Order: sequence, then structure tokens, then C-alpha cells
Amino acid sequence: MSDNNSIIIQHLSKKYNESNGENTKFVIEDINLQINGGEFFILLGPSGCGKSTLLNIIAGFIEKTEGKLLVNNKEVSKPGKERAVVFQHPDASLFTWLNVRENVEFGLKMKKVKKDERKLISDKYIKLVGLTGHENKFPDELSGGMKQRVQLARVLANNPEILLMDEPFGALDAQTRRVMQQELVRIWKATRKTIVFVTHDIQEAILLGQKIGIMSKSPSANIYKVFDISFQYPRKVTGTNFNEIYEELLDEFEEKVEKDGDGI
Amino acid sequence: MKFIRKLLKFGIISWIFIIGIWQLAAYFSSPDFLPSPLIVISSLGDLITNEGLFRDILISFGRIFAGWFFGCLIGIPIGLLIGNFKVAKSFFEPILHFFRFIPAIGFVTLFIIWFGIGEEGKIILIMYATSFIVILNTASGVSNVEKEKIRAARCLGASESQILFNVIIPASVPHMYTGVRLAMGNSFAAIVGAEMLASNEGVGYLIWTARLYFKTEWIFVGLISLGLMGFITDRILGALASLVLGKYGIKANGQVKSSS
Repeated sequence: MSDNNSIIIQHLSKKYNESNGENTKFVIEDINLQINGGEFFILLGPSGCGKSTLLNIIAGFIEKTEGKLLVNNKEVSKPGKERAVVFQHPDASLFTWLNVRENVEFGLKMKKVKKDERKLISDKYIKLVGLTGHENKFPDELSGGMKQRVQLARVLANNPEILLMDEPFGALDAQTRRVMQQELVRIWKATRKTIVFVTHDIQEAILLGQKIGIMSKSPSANIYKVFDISFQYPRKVTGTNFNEIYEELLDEFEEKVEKDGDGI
Repeated sequence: MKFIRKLLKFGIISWIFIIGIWQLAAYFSSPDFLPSPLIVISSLGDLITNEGLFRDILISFGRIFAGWFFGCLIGIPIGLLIGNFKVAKSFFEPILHFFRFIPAIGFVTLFIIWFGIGEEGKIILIMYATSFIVILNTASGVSNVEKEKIRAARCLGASESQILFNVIIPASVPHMYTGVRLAMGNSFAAIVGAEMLASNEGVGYLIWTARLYFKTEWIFVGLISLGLMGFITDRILGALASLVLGKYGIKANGQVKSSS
């Protein structure tokens, strides 16, 4: 089962030490998960449930407290080139002093790839994300959706095996968001990367994912159910199968996630 | 209305107002106490031809520029060290937070003993006045770099030194620039103190000696020269910065773009 580019998580927990040194709380507790190579996996959960914490642990940005994290069957604890992250806020994560092409070529430049070769690769991915003609613009001159396209091209140009995406369309307006969702499915099909996509939006989860892992509320959040979404892409919110799954997920949310939690 | 707003925008109304008040106040006092604008202007010719006003300005400016330049040269690397390494921060911070309360002018007499009344003492004094604000701003620039940028670079395969040179330094340019610009103001404050006590040329010297000859109007000329020098330098610095560092977020008028 554990093929290439897979992510295996066993009994993974994260505890933050509170300032008084006592009362340590688990943010996420005992997570078990297998994400196969090439899979489009959605982490769905309410705001503040620890989805981003889990994603940051997979990325290697923060340390886990307990458990195992295997990427490509190897244990990892630090960031690696095979895992690329698309952040929620492009203004924070794009290099604002570099233009679109320079942003996309950043990883290649760090690897000291020659200029001609860099240009070939950046051309390819700028085209793939639909930014041809905007190569010399700076992030400030782009719209929110275009900035996220730059982020996508930047990670794809580095040829990672796994894309980790932290609510990347959360800050976009509804129209741009729909377009970006369709674009992401197209790009995923063209590149067949493993994608772990964090969202709190049920509709987005169903439109995008092959599998949806539902997270309960923090503290001690975990993934208590994984749904297989097998119907064909491109998916539409108006389809009958969409509505069935939507209802099912919504029930799950209302029953487990919202009543279990001690918050809102 | 549009014309008046334009005058206001270019500061012309502010100046007419100040000069008007000055003229009015001068009318009620003796020229030795408060010379009128006209007296000040008429002393200008004498100062330029006989006292070498432009020479004084050039000398003061040379000292300011040298001290400021070397101060920035020292301040930026130390600021980068403090911002990047906890060890450097723990080492430098107690020193910084002690010395930044001692104004440069407090060191003038000590520096005369140490360095004499030559150029070194004055330049070192301005370096002292310059470096703190550059250090503090650079360090705060480094600590304000968004963690997403550093994380993004890291997962794109950048090494720690590549992150320093390709992410942290470029991302802190606006803060460094703010420090460098404020430091220019500090240099002007320090030069006057230095030249008053230990010099026989320069704008500070002119202001100081004016009292010996009871030439109150010379003091005014000196003060106005300093103001104009500072104003023009700041504008030139802003224009240069926006030209060279525009892509790092410094706008045409030399202001730093607020990070979104």
C-alpha cells in the first residue's frame, strides 16, 4: 500500500507547553492517517481545530511531540524539497522584491541551475498556471488569485512530490475562488502530485478531494473519519451526487464536530 | 481655493506664516536679541564673501557624510547579527540599551582628550550618533520578516546562509533604510555639538563664534543652513533610495511602503 510519495502518520500528537509550565494541552492527539502517492487529500475541520498544525508538522516547520511521520517510507522531521507548501497569504509568503519569474525560479536558483535551464522551467510552469505575459510584474501588481498562481508555479518549478496547501483560496473572493479550484484540479491532473489541502469549507472539500479526512475540534483534535469521494471531475455544486455527500458531511459536522467541541 | 491648497501643499503658506511672525516679533525687539529676516538676509552676502559660509557648509557636510557612512557600515552588520542570532542579541542588547541613552554630545569633551581636535574625533562622534539607530532598525527589520517567507524559502531548498542573503536581508531593506534616514538627522545634531567645542571651521563653529562678535544674525544664518542642508540631503537620499531600492518597497518620495 505504501507506494511512492505517500505520507504515513502514526499516533501523531502535538502538545504546546503553556506559559506556567503545567497544564499542557494536546492540540492534536493520536492521529493515524495514510495518504497515498498522487492522491488529492483534504483535511477538513472547523477553524482553529489544528489542521494547520498538522500540515505544519508534515511540512517540517514545527516539531511533533509524539508519534511517527513517514514520507516516502522515511521518517522526516525537517522541511524537505520533496514537500512544498502553498501558504494561505501570498503577501506574506511571496518574495515581494522579486518579479513573477524570479519568484518562480527561486528554488532553482538556490540549486544553482543555469540561467537558460531556469528560464525553460519557469516558462513551463508560468504557462501551466496561466500567467504567461505577467513574468516581469511584481507581486504588488497582481490580484489575489494571480498571486496564488505565482505560489503554485513557484513550488511546481521546484518539482516536489507533495504539495501541502494551507487554505490557499481562503482569502479570495467567491468568483476567483471557483476559478482557482478548477485550475487546481487541472494542474493536479497534469502533474499528478500528492496534494494535502487544508480547508474549513465543506463545498471546497467535495469539489476538490478524492478523500476527505474530517478533524474534530481542538483540544485533542484528531481525524476520526475519512470519506472517499469517488465521483468524476470536473465536479459541480449542482449535481445530485454532490448534494448527497454534502448532506452527509454536514450531518457529520453538526453531530460530531460542533457538539463535541467546547467552543462555539 | 485650488491655488491656496497648492501653496499649502508645497509648504509656502507655512513659511510665509513663520517669517511673518518672526518679522513681527523682531519689530518689538533689538536686532542683537532677535534680528529681523531682512537683517539676516543682508548679512548673508558678508558671510559668503568674507567668512566663507559655503566652505563651512561643505566642511560640516563632509564630516556628517563620512561619519554617517561609516556608522551605517558598522551598524547594518551588527543589526543583522542581532536580528539573526540569539547569542549576538544577548551580547549586544545590554550594551546598546545602556549607551543609547548617552547622547553623542556627552562624548565631545572625552573625544577631545582621546582624539584631539582633529577630524577623527568628529567623525567618530557622528559614527556613534549614527550607528545605534541603524543597528536597532536593522535588527527590528530582521525580526519582522514574515515567517512564511523564511519557511517558503526553506521548503524550496534554500540553505540557512542562502535564506539570510536571499530572503532576510532583502526583506529588511525598508527597515534598514528607515534607520539610515533617521541616522542622518542624528548626525546633524551631533556635528553642531562637536564643532562648537572643538573646531575652527564648520557651521557649528560659525554658530558658536557668532556670540563672541555679537552677530546674532549669523546664528540665524547657521541654523537656517543646517535646516536646509538636512532637508536637501533627506530629499536626495529619498530620491536615490526610490531609484535604487524601489523594488524593496521604497516609494518615489522616499517613504517606506507599509507592509500589507
